Amino acid sequence: MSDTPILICYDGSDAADSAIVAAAALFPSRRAIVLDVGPVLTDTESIAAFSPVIAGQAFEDENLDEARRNAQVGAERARQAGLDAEARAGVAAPTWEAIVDTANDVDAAVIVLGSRGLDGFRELFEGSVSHAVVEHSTRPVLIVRGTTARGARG
Amino acid sequence: MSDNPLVADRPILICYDGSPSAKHAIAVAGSLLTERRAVVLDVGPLDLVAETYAAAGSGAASIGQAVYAGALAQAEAGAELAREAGFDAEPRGGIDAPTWRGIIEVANDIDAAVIVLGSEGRTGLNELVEGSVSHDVAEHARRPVLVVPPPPGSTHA
Repeated sequence: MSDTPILICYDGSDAADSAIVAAAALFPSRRAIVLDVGPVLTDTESIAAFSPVIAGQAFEDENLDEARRNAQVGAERARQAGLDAEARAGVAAPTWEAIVDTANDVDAAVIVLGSRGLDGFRELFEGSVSHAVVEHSTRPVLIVRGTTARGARG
Repeated sequence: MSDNPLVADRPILICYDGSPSAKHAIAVAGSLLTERRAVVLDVGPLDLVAETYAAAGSGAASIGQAVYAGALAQAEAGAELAREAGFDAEPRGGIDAPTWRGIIEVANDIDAAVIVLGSEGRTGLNELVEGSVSHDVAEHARRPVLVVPPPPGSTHA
């Protein structure tokens, strides 16, 4: 059982950094796969994409590159926290579906997610990624809030 | 310092309402989180106590005691399951409404390293009125929350 990896979703946010620290403390002996799922188009790009000058594919390539860089950063932080971590990246919409699919693909023991709680700007558009993953996955999900709330108790 | 999840002697808080989802959550927690103390909590419905008070006034105290005793008995059953799953577990009962608030208060009280709960709690009127307890706890808790879905193949109640 303990050779199945944990899947840490990493988007570079404060909450994602907190999620890595919590995962390393709670599941210290497991391998970790650090995943960033980039958007197929960003919010700004989705407007720009109506322009015929730049093809949608170019945005997608750029988003995948950014997701790869982000996942590498996350994997490095996970290693610093003591986990045996590897990076993984993709672009997809909706985000939760790519997370659930990747978790199945790697047979994740648990999915770890940072959550911005009620105030995330992207969540206004996407709905809560963490809630969607909980609804759709058959695997345990660890939800970790960002450091902005660290001073308060709750 | 006490906020540091690296401090391994902090207990985990397992929420237990006797549902199949809660039983499964204990088993999954046992496979993921070993060598920790566990406090197993059931939060009884405060609204029942309040309704009794509104209806009969003086009866509320004894109803409160009965609800608390029921919650503690449930928590004891959960603690026994948690021991079987490998935890050094102790039971704890509570009375609160909404349920998520009672859970978070106990989590703060014991400085839980993580709150564990099933994604499908006790169904019925409470869930209809309050919505999903696991969603609410995840939304309001400022510590990690492990939400455990029902086992594959289980049917929804």
